[in-house]
Amino acid sequence: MLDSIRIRLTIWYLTVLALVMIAFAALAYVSILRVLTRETDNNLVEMAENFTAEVQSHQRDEGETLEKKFSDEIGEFHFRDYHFVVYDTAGRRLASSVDNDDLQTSLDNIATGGLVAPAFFDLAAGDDNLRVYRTPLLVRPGRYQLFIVLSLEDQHAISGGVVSVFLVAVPLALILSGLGGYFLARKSLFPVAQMSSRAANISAANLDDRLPVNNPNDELGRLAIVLNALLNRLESSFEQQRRFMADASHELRTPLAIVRGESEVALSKDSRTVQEYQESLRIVNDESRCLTEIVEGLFTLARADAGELKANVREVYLDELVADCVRSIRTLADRRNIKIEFSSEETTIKGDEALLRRLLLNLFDNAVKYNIDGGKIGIKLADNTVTVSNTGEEIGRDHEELIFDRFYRIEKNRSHKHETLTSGAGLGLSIAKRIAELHNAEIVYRRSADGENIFEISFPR
Amino acid sequence: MRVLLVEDDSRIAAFVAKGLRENSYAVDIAIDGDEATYMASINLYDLFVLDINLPGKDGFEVCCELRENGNTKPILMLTARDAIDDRISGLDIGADDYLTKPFEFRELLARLRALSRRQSEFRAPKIVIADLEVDTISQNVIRAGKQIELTAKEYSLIEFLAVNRGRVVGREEISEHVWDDSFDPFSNLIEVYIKRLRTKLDEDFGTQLIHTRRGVGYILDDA
Repeated sequence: MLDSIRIRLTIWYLTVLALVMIAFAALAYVSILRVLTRETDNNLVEMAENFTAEVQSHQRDEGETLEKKFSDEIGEFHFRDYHFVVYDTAGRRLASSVDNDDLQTSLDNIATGGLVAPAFFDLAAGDDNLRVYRTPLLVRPGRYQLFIVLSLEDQHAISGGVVSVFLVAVPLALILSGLGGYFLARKSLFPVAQMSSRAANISAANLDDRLPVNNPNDELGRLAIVLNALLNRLESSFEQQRRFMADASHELRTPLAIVRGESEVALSKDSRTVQEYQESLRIVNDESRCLTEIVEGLFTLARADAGELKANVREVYLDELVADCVRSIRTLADRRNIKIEFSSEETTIKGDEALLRRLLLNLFDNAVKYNIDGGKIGIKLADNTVTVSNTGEEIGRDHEELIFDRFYRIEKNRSHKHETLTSGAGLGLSIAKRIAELHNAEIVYRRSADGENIFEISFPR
Repeated sequence: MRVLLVEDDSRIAAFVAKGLRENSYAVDIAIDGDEATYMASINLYDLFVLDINLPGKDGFEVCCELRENGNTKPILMLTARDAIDDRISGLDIGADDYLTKPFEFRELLARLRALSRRQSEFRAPKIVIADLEVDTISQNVIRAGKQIELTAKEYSLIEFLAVNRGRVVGREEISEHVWDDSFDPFSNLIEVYIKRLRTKLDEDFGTQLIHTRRGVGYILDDA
């Protein structure tokens, strides 16, 4: 049960709240006690002043003893809770309204200490707690000690009442705020429950489903947005994977179908002319080569994906390599009357020559393959960047993102029209991209303002 | 049997057409969806072999259009995609059968035979008229227990007459179903083939089975 964030939040909240409330109650209790004590002390002082004034204002009658005078005065100051005791400076009791013997004895003992400055002290007598004010009493011509005793019963009743209010109020407040906290936690965590139940239902089959976003500005809303973005990425890579599978199966099945069909048809008749057999064998041979290229291309990509395609890095004269590759495609280009404009500057980079050759051939080959008859190809090497432009048809915004995907072809049948150097299986650009990545180079496509397709590979310096 | 083969990959189209022709089918090839619907609208095909991945209109759309235009002839979908969804949607929009590349050519032939049998009144693979037997599977023709050697075109013609036994079929109908697009309507090719069939099938046997209905056409019947 403690695993639930809701419960844990509530418990934390309650613990903190309980500590705060207990501290508050304690502080309140102490403050109330202090206020009450000060009030008591003020009353005692006031009482002492009144008593002193009273005693001083009445001149002693002739023959009247001092004891008698004090007793009379005390008798006049007869309050329920206040008791007065007067001692002389030697501690001899002159008059008293105290009716408790224990208290009287305690006070007598204290009074023997003689005259002191005004002071308060607490005294316990039996089960009664008392506050005592001791002050000098000046009555011409002598000096005396005055003790005023006040029972703290009322004060204790008040503070006891405060305590019992706290004892009821604090737990009650804790229970109420615990419930409130629990519901609040539940309410604020409700989107999480919602998200988790929705997320539990998302699988490969309904990857287009998304988590609900209740409030895009709060923390949970942002979490949902982040998770949805993750789902978007998953969905698109899933889609890419699915397309790859479909395309791979198509690209592999087609040559297989031709090999099988062609040979089966050729064998279905007992005898054919030599030319017929040769034609069939030529077709079978072409298709086997095509299959080999696809399989090798896939193998290269798989090794690159698995991180096994290690570039055999050394110094490569890129200008010579480019020139060499240009020579390789010239025949193909000439056959279709495509002009090649080539310029380069001396460039050396670190790289794997065989892989780089493949990259360049793939790009150049595409430049011929997707060109128009009598078109133009521009190949330029400058600033560590190979730029390949061709006058082929526009690739189109829809396809730009996808041309580097495996087996992606804009028109499924286009590459069979023309003779090519490399595999026409739609792997050329994917392989080129992987090789570029291995060399920390960047390969980008753009359409130039004057209507040419431009591929640029920038090698790091 | 005249077949429209819709296939954009010329290498595949080449061997399928070759194999079908050698098995007595008249084959026309369309390389995209638009051409396919156009050709289907001007010719009477007995069967369609339809690739799904086509430039422009794809195989599903072609199939839909054929059915919408009231064409009820069998359609066999041929594709390199084998996703179940593709197969289901292909069959649901009116295709009759489905074959995944690569395929055994004999299987394609068998499926086409099965599809065409479904269309004909004669569901048995062997058609018998008096002492003439036309086996549509082995493409053997036997008369009175004697095997008759025929070329693919000759077989195709006798099979067409046999399938339509007892019914007069016109020249045009014959050219539509037995010959492909390259047939020249002004040639006397049909007469030539009928004559050859008569020589091989009728001459040495007592009763005549191939009859001419002057100005109308031909009929294969035992009376």
